[in-house]
Amino acid sequence: MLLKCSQQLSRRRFLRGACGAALVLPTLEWSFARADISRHPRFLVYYLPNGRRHEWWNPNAQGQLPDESGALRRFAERTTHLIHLDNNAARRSPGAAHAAGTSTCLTGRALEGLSQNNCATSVDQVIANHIGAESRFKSLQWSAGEPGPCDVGGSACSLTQSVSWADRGQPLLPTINPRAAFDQLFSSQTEGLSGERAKIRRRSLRSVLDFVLDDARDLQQRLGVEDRARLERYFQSVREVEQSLTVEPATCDVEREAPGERLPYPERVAAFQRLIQLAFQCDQTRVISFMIEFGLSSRSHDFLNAAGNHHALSHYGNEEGRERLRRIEIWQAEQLASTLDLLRDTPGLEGSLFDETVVLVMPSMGQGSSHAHDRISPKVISGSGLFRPGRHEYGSATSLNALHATLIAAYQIQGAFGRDGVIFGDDGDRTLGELLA
Amino acid sequence: MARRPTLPVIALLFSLSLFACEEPPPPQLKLQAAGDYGAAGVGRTGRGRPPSQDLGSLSQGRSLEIEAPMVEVSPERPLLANGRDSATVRLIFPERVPAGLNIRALSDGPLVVTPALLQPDENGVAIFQVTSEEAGRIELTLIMALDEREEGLEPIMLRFDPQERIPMRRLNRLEYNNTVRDLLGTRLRPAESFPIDPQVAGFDTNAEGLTMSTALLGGLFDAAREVLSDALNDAYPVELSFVPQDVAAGGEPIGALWALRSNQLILRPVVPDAGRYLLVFYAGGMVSGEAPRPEIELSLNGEVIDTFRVQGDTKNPHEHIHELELGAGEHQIRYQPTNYVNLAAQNTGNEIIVDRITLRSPERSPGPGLTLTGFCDPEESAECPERLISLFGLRAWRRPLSAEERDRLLTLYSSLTEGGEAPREALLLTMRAMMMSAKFIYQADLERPEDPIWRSFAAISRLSYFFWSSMPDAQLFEAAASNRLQGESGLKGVVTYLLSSEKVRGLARGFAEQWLGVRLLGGVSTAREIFPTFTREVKRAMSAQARELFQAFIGRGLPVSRLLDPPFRLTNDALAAHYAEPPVNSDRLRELPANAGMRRGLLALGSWLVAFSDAEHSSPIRRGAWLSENILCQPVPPPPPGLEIGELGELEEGMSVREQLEAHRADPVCAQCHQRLDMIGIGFERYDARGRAIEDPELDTLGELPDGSTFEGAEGMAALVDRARFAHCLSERLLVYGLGRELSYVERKILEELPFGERPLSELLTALAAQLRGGR
Repeated sequence: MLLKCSQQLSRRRFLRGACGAALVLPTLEWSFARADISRHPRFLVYYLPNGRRHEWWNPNAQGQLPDESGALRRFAERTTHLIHLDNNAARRSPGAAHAAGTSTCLTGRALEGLSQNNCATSVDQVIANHIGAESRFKSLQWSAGEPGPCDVGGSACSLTQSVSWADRGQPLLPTINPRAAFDQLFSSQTEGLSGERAKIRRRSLRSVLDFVLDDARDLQQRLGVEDRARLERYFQSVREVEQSLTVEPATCDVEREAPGERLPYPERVAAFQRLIQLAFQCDQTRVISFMIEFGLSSRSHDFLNAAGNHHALSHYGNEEGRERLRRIEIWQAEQLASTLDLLRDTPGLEGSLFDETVVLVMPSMGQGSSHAHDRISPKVISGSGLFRPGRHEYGSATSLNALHATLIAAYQIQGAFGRDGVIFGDDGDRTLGELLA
Repeated sequence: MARRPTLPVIALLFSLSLFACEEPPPPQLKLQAAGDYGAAGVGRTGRGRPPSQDLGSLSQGRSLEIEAPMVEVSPERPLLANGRDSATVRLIFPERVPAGLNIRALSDGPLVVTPALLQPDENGVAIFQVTSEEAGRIELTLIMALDEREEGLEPIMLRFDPQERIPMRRLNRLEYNNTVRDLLGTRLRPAESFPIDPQVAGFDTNAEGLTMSTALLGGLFDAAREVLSDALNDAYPVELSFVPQDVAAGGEPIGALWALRSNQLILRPVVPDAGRYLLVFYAGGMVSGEAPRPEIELSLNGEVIDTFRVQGDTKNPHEHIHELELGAGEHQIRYQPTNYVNLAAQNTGNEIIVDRITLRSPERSPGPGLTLTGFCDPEESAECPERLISLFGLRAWRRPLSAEERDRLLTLYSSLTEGGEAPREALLLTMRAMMMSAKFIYQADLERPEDPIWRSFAAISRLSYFFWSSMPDAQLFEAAASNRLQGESGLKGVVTYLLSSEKVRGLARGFAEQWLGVRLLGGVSTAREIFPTFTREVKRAMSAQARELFQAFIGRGLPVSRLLDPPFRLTNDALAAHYAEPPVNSDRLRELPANAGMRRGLLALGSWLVAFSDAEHSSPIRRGAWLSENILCQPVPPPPPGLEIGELGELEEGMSVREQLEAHRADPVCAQCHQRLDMIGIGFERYDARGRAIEDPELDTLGELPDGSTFEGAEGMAALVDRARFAHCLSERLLVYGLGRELSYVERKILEELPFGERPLSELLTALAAQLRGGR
């Protein structure tokens, strides 16, 4: 082997010397208050498509994780396993199981139809609305997925390609190119200028955005109801970009490297996981949702020797298919664990990032083979101490929305966000006190 | 030995059961003309009176003659749609109305009228509220009678114009890239890194899917800066950059780099003009042990032109430059290492690490955007900012600016210079503001609807994005300004122009790619274990084949329905090798004559056959669903809510595909739709998961259409398909694509009545253009 460190070789490294050791020596000059981080930890959603097999995912009665999720054992003391919750919203939606499972798993409201973006605000956005103003970006959405077939019955692709929803009609579609995500975080807002000229430029950019807001008002008066709602989302985005400009660029002195373009899938997953670490470390955002692939993913995991459409494998019909699915689920558990490792090994404001983050691991459904929405098993993994670790089996009588209501309670967010005044979703009318420390 | 599917078809259960596969009964809607009031939606006419309305006389000997009421409808615009828009209808009787006159509004269309029964007030005025349930033409029958009697005066029919709103929608990624290309002359395609535009109703032009987010807006903000700077600064007129992933060759990617060992690296650049070019090979050599420095043989179009030693190393890569004299068109450039050594045991070896290869003009010249935009130097001329704002505004916003808009932009420019920006920078920032404006990013219909010229610009723009996936050019703006889109001949002239341009490839890129599954090919694995011949070249050829098939019909007079059995076929060597057909001696697609018995036409395209297969085996269900929706015009409804499909047991080895499909239809709820899908799909079982024909006389490929007729394979189905229905189906898909929303009942009816099957595609497109233009 001529090139020992070839896997890490990137264009930038190439220019600097192929195998230079990278030291991570953060100098933290936080521009945000750190007082709140223990009460309002960062929030990460880690989404997994095509469901999970119970026997590879859930701990046994003694609390022991199966080997297939063995990578997560090192976080056992910080993991709250929720077993067999009921995603009622998905069950009451039209029967495009993956569209319903993916789009309701964080929004908690049954879909009225499949061809429109009729999801409500997702729980990560409820949290972002509460804590997002503390950082440069209110929230970020990423996915290593690639657009593939969408669900049946004319399902809008956004229903499988987005878990985060700002509001009805407003899916927050993930950025799928890690390079673009990196640029959003770290590209200079001063366009290569420095000193006084940089300051002038930042002010100019704000004037440009102010103009843009102002200019669209005459348009607004001439539009129908639906078009006005579209324009409203545009206004909101302009204001959020403006917010990102008003904050002085973080002087986050961390070794970082722009990911390459067109990376193969596993490297893309790794790049996004590294970006999750960087975005939190540099306090660019407090809320991220990450989809390792889109709902109904038909990715063929050739690199795991698990060729075959992932979705089809989740309905495996023979031993061979089941074995390949097993390899995929093992690998995904490992990816999740390596993300958690990155958080654990990175200093945050006070403790490690892991201590300051709540990670919600969200499968699209229970067992993919039966499209089970009534036995869904998310996990909350966090060093924050807000959640009580351990195994909580519910036997499907408890709504997934109760978990979301509990998250809202954990963040001490007041108010009712669900239908008819319930805390969250269609039926999140109570919190699961047993989960809270 | 032909490969037979071994994994069970049941693995495709995503769509197991369909609740109501029967087409829902259409809403009752009268389409025949009745005393046309022309009340609403006729341009600006909001008032009307039936010219010769004979109100007749009341029965029972009591004679009553009253003059017909004046009808006012507000708002004064076409009544529109989606159950959320409503109109107020006022009936104003010119003279005293007899007491006890009841007016009943009956609607047998998708329309709610409240109240259903009322009497004119003392001033002879009666007011109804009308709300549409669905976009479409609305008919209302007003029955006037005395007291509760059924019979009365001659009913009045009110008919609302079927013109419907076209939703405001954002430019999608393809449209953004094309637009900045045409607006500024940039070669950058910045939208590649924007978040995806999800398909809704099958296309990424759907307003519902084209949402906005902070990430996207931030991307647009950066993109505007990049394209302006790329277009307005000095640059090489031709600069083709190849990163390793673009290169059609074996070899090994290392992150963003490329290791060149014993493999060769082939580029196929296309240069626009004949002339002198510089070929820059940016790379370094890695040598260990006693191995020699790597050497490369460089060939141009098959002829060796140089052999050179690779300079530099990975820390300090070197620009190896060759000057070439090239004619216009495609060339083949090949780099072949000549002295590769790899003796791992002795730790001896050499390889070449390639960063990028560039083919460019020798000298920089002024940016392409300077002339296109009429960019000027504000320090040289005082009128510059205002002139540029007007010129650029017209093209960026796709209509003339109002005086007010121009003033606001000038104010922005001044405030930027006063804030400390240099004049040129301030001007660039002002242009950037215009590219961040909703007026650039969105296509909206309703600006200044009262002004026919503004409408004309909006209509031209819509047509341009439909045919070109891009903004209008100078001729189209000129047509809009002189309102030349009027009438049938005006429309025809514009459409002919749109079709004659090279840019019409934008329709194949935007529409045909999505219609024919091309965009799903990207995610299909090229792992060699199962399908060794399915390479990236084959994928590319399948994509091009689908686009070119559609493209070929745009330019010729062939009937639309011959898409199913065209008199030609399109293939290249990669595809021929994959299909085990004789080579055609071309890397590019070639058009060859074809006739019965040959693989040809839309139903035999690899793109959709592969896109709607699974990784290792074909998928009769997914193929059946695609055929049902796109060829037979019968979309597949979703399964019922709360469907549990149950755990699947092991399937018995040796079950045929048909038996497996039958097993999964055991549930009658599922059978309702799957009977239809599965039976169509099974007729395509002779094509494997990568579209190759399977030669196996034992293979069960007997498909069945919903009418009970049976067929085998693409040619068999093509012979059975109702050609008018197929053309209708295509026109529906095209209009959904163009309008950016689903069709109303009435629009579907209109399309059904158009006889397109035996007409050329260009005629079909002209008819759709009339729908897109709107108005009359």
